[in-house]
Amino acid sequence: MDFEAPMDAWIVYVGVATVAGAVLGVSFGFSPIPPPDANAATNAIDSVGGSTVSGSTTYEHDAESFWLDRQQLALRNEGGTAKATIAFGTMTGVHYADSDRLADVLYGTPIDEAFSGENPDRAFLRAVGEAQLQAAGDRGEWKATEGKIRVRKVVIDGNALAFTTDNQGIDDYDITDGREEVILVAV
Amino acid sequence: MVGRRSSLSPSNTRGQAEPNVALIAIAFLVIALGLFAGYHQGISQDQADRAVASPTLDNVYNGATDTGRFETTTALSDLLEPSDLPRGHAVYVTVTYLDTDTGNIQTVDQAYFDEDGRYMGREVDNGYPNNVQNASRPIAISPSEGDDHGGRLTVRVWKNQ
Repeated sequence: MDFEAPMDAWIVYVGVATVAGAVLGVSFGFSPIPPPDANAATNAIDSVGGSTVSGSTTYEHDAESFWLDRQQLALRNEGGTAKATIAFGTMTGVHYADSDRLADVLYGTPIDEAFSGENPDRAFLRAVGEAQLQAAGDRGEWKATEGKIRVRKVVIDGNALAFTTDNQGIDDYDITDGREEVILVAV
Repeated sequence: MVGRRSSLSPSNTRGQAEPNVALIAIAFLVIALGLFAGYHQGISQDQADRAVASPTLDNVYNGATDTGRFETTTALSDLLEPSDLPRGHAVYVTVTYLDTDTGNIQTVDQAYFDEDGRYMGREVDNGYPNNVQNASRPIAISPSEGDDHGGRLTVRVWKNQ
């Protein structure tokens, strides 16, 4: 019987190329992608949020979606989900705000330019309170991310935010006298 | 390539392959693929360690000093608030200086706070786990007005497991 395959027939090369392609696909399927590093991301947030002066930083990550609330950040990609808690202060995710004004402050616009009116600090704190309430309500709903975390710490003297809580978390906010440290985060 | 001698064949450019060799080659390929997959399953997917000691040191320094001096008249347990301390981490703070007369390190004040920021005493009562992070910096110790000497502020931060 004649089992030999003629090596110069083009069909043999097509077969070899197909098998090679299939093997390559299988090998890529075996390479696991690690889940995103939420600890390193919260280290970056804490380096700004835990400092005693205003500042900002950025951190690149490899997550595809995220959610955050006042103290927790969760990141997810094909490799899995990771969650971590910040050690200092409370976060305000600018994606949970109704308008882009909080994002403008995060990216460097001074508060009195981003918030018009006779008391920009109070308007800013109102936007922060709304965003934190929205984040608490959206907890667990994944949003798409761009791959970079930006953090900025803003210190407001003269006005502060006071939250009221019910048994599920924060319920409402009020603007009082005092001093407030706001950590703005964009993921 | 081993095959039938084709000296009688009209074209001496034909090459031929035996199936046994091809099957053995594919078997090696599959074995290699299995080793590759097994190696990749062991890739570490650990997350980075939380680096909390440095911001904690900044906050503790800010809370413990007024105008950059640590006045020994008030204890650390009264100067530091839970908002200065990292959430979820236990903290042990010491203020020390080197006594130049005796050559020993003297402790001026020390305090241990639990994960909720509550003051628990001067000593750590249940030992350190193996993930302690340390940070320290110089601090000016001022036992009385005008009398300053140099010391060291050290914080140890860890999560109880």
